[in-house]
Amino acid sequence: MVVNFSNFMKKPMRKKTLQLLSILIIIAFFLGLFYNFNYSYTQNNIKSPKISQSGNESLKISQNFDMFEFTEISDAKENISSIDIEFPLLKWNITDIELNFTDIKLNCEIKTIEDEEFGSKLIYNKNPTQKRLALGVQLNISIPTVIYGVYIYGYKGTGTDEIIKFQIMGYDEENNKPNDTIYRTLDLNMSFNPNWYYQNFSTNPITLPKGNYSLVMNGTEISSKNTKYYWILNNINPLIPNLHTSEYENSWSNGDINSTFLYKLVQKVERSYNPEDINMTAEINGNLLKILNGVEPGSGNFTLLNTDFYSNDENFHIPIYNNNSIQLIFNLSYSIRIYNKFISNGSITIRESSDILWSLEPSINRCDGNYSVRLEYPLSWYNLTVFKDGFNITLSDGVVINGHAIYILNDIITEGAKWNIIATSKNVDFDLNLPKTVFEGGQHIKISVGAPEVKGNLLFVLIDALNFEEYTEEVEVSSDKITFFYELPSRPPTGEWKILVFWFSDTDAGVQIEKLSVIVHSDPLIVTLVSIIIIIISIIAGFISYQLKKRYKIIKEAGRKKIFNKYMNVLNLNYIMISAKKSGLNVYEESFVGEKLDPTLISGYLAAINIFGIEITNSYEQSQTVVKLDYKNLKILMSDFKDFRINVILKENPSNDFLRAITSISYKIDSKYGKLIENFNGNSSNFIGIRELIEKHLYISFISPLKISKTENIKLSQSETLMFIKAKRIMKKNNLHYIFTTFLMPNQIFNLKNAEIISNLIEKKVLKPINLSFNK
Amino acid sequence: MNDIKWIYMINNRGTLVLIYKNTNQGAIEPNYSILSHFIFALQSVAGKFEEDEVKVIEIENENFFMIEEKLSNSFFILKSDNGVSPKKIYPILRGIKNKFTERFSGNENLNLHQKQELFKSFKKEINEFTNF
Repeated sequence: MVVNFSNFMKKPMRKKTLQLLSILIIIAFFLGLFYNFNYSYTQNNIKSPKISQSGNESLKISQNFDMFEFTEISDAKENISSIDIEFPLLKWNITDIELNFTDIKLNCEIKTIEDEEFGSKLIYNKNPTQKRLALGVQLNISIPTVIYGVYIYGYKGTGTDEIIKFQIMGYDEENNKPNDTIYRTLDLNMSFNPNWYYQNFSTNPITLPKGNYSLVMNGTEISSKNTKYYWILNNINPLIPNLHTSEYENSWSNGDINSTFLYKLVQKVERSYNPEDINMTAEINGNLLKILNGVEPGSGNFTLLNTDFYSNDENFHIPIYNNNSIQLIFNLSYSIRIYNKFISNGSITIRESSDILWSLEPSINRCDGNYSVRLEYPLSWYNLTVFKDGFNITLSDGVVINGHAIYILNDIITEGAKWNIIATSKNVDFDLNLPKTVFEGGQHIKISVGAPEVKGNLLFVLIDALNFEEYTEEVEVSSDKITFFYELPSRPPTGEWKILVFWFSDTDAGVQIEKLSVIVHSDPLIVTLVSIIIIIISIIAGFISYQLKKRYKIIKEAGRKKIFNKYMNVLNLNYIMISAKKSGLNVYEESFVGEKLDPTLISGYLAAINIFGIEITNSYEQSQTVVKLDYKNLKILMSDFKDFRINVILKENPSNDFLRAITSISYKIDSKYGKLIENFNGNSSNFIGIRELIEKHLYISFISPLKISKTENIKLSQSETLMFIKAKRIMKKNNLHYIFTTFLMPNQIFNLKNAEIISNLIEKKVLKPINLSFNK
Repeated sequence: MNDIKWIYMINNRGTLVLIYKNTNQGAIEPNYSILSHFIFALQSVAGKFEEDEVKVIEIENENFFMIEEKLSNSFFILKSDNGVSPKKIYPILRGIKNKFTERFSGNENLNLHQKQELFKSFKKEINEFTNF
């Protein structure tokens, strides 16, 4: 018997069921309208608490916290005149400054020896008797001095082409004139206008110890009459009257005093100064602060501790002054301690029946130097815990908790680390006053809150009976009594509602909860009617659903059974033979178990038919007769149809599906080959097409040897791909040229899903049946 | 030897006969049609056998060892886990085949009942090889 789904559809029961379902849907629609499901919510959410099903409400609020970072900048600099210290890229407050100076000296200066003009002297070479070839002036060095250059006041005459020399020479103390020692020489820098001209020795400055020297304009090489060089002098009231000047004609004249050529020295005196001797000061934050003498000569120090002033610049500049007009130059080592306040992101989690959780996630970007971070926390916080990259480091050396402050120290602070500081505090208690606890739809809920006497925020949350947030409101408070109002909708969800009031400040938080009941009065008659209708509908719907489910299960099972039989039928198959009844010759035969077919078997079972007296008579008129035999552990099926007989050898008893398939094959063979069989003379080449018929009805590809074909351009599902890979793997492992479907069935147990996957691969020609020489 | 799962014999008519099954395995019984086709498939891919030659086909985590008893044109197929060394299996399978030859050669003319009794005692003797 075949279960035909289309027949089932025709049954009267099904029609009634559909009609009933339609009525139910319409009733439900109108019920919905009638009952007026009309919930509306006003949502003024600023912060939404988490409403948990277990009733343990919590609220998480983002919060910022102040933290401090500290660092100490230490370094040393040489040969500087003022102090410039680079701060990390932020605004910092300075708390301690320590400066240590060494090698305090005066910087380079221009020292004027004589600058008042009164006369001049000329260098010329008119003729051997009229000439002056050089001019010299005494240079007195009282402290070792580095000479970088000399300014001299003079000019050269018109028509002067020749360049003469300017020299620093030694000094004949006895005769107060230049001696032969030349310390430095260069071409004289002088032009036609009277002016100060710089003779630059800075590329090779000379350090002159204490003593006398000579500055000389040397024209001894002059050959032209036109060459004239003028050096201006003060022969009236020189600044230093006892400096000697000399002239050179054929030799140097003994020096004369009270007459000095105009010159200035660019020099640096090689001596150290003590800060207090020169009133050395540092300007810090607008104040001039004294630098004290150090232990060693030429050294000093400055200390400013426990200060607190703000620097708005990355460069901390400290000008240094003294009572000289000349700038100082010195070596410096310094140490400056600074701090900065920064904001850490964080949150407060306020939970009913639980402590408040404070969580900070500071972004710590360390600076150079001895860097540390501090969090000052309120008295109410406890269980402070510090996490670095998820690890609890509270007890490590890098974390110190002291006097309501947590310090995270330099050695533990690494770039890019993720920080989390958590703490807990007790739930702060405050008053809630809800005078009335039972409400009807449309009434006003009124609740007053006595907040703590600290500036904070109050968050009022109303949760309905369905555990949805109905209303929220937030206000800033500071010890006032606050009253919240809310008007219930006309038809609110009935049952227990909750009021949650959260209070939080920068340091503390708490939550209080009140419960209330909401009821809605309804017309009793309508309620009764509606309830009865709902009950009836539920019973009918349940019954129908059960029936439908049962039918569906039967159909589905039948379908599955059919598919299962399709595979088992073919796996059961050993041999098919189609013979013409008249001649007894085979028009077609195929073995599915190799050549191992006992030749005596066929004759054996034919003999058995005779033994058992089974005569197939009148089978022509009856169109089909089927005989089944058990013979030597095999099952033999013989189906007579008009002029031919189909003989099938099976491993086990065939299913009814198989018998139906044989019947279909018989009809098809008769239709296509009936005439040929009637006149069969032994030439079976006309009947090759019978294999296709058998394939169509018995799916013999499934038990044929299969070879693997290429899969490019063939779309396979994941399960098909896996099966394909498995087949390839088995073939490769065992060096096989073909494979059988039963190789792909684990433990040789049939699995419908696997069989379907293999069938898909056969259908997609990924696995292709091949014809080994089993057939005749 | 717990690694052997089963041993089947296929006689000259292609009938499958179970001669040993490891009861410790507790596995689900394979379907006869599928097993029969499977064993035929193994024989098909194995090809021709030399005298005393043992062939092995590896499928996933299992090995299938085969040997032909040429006198009776029978085959013995043994299934074991992948981890078992073939060197352990070869003597077992050869021993079984030789025992069969010893038992049944020259006894083709026994009646069915006698053959069945002979086969029963043969199956008992299989335990010598499988119970290490």
